[in-house]
Amino acid sequence: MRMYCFRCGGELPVQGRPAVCPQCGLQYDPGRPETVATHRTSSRWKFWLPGFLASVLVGTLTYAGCLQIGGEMGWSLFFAVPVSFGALLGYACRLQTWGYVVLGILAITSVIFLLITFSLAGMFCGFTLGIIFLIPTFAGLVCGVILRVVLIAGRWDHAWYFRWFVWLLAALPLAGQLIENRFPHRREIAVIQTGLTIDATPQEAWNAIMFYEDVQHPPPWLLHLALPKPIRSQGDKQKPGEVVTCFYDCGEIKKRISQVEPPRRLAFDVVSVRMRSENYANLKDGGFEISPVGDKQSRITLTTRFERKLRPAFIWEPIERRVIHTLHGHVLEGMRRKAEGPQADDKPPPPYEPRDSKLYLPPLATAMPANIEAGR
Amino acid sequence: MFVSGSTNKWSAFLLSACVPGAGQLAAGSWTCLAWFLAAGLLAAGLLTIERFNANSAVWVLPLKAGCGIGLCLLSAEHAKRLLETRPQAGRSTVVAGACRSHSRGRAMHVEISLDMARGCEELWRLVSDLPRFLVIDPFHDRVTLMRDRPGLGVDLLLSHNAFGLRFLRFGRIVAWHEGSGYTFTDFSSRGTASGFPHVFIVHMQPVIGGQGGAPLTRLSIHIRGRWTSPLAPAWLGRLWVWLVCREHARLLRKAL
Repeated sequence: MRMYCFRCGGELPVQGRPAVCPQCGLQYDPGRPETVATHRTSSRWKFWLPGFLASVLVGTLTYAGCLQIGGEMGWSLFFAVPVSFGALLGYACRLQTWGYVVLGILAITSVIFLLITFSLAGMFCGFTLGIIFLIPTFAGLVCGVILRVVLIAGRWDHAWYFRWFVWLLAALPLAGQLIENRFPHRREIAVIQTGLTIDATPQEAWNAIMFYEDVQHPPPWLLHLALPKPIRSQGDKQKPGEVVTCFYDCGEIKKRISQVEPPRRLAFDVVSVRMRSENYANLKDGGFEISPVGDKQSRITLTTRFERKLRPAFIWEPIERRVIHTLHGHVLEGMRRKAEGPQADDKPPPPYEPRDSKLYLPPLATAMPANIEAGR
Repeated sequence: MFVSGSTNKWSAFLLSACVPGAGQLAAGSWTCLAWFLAAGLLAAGLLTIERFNANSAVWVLPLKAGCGIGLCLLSAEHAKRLLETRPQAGRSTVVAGACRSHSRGRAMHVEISLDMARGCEELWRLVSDLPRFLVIDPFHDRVTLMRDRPGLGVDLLLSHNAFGLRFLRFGRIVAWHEGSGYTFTDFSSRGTASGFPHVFIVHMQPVIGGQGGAPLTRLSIHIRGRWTSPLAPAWLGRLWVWLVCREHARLLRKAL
């Protein structure tokens, strides 16, 4: 049987009497098995596990901290957080290049998993965050590795102390969030419209008006992931001033019917949103427009207006548009099935006509009256 | 309840840290029921608070986190204590004890002093049995002497278990005074410059003036070392070492 040293892992010569390891000098006694190891001990985890755990913890806590601070969900949350935990990962782990790649992906997955577990992000947002985090995390990781290499190689007298202060990287996203909140951005009102032409008269289409909560057929997978599960709605949609309550599995939305012009237009304002999960958009209002097309056809246009909370826009806007159009498409399909009757199931669903626009409003602090919506 | 078998105290600690009461169940204690009940009541209470205060998410989340972590830690510590070593005679012989810190900067020095109603020879028999005595420690799991008998220059294999994480450290007996004490080192496998290198100085001396003429012996243990971690500041290191030594003193008081 081969014997190895407990301390250095070196192979020990088999002797009949107590001896010392020729490499590190640790005593051993071949006659007592508890003083020798029967296999080489692997302690490679020491080079990455503490740094990895610290990085995941910092990532989760700083994300939660930024959310708690409130305000914009922007650069600090989606860039400073992954850069910060990526930099810590690079700084605190000593691995080969492929190891950093694997660990970086594992760290992102772990942070996302924890965020979803603690209800700080939904499933869909979690997946999206995972993709968004990729580039900043690896950028931070490279910075962390470079910083460690420079500190080790450099002859700066205070490097030893600086090595401790580098952990202040963890505070970077929180400081960034506070700074971001000090500089209010212009408000961005997104207007998402989706149209559909159906084989029904305007009156039939009007009678088929329904909210997301009333649609009978199952929603597409995107809505399953991205939106709370609808349960039902309560209230008369055809009565101006009536407050309709839409119930979801994690809260409710109250909508006040603001305009009823049968069979042309139905509009509503969102009065309140009470959700247990994080709100990623500030819903404003919406409506249904019905116009006749020929003798026996109608065009229905659904509109949703909301204030965007997620930044930067170039990442989140296409995702938001896709989700809202899918939602509209789901509601329009429900209306089409109801208006066209049983024969609707035999026909393939017609293509939707998406249309988007945006309004820019000044920051809340210097807000102008709502009717002066500049910058259309 | 039932015999707990060979459940490790850190296993019980981690179990209860995850699910309050689970460690007590593993330790074979009926107190697990009380912890399960407490966890259930806390969860129900927090859900009720959340239901009635749906808009005040700013303080509900920290409250939930604080209460949950607090209950888990309390339960974990209780489960760990259930599995700690108990005195052989059923009652501790420690009549007085103190734990004092003399640490300055990164130089750590904590003194544990215990007055025990035992004779010097009897106490020496306990203290010189290193594989048994040295595991009365918050983190020492198993101690192996690299020679048959303890003595000057004998290496020690100190198996540690901290929060369920096992690792080896290495020491050597650097002083041995038969009948009165010894000193041994506790170093990381990376050497003497990292991983909190420290020494234990164990010393015994008879105390005059024991009540009713009973023998009284003072056991003092000095832990001297250097805080080498660049990740945690020295003040945190001093606090940590002092807390660990207090725990060490508590375990000694309980076991001797």
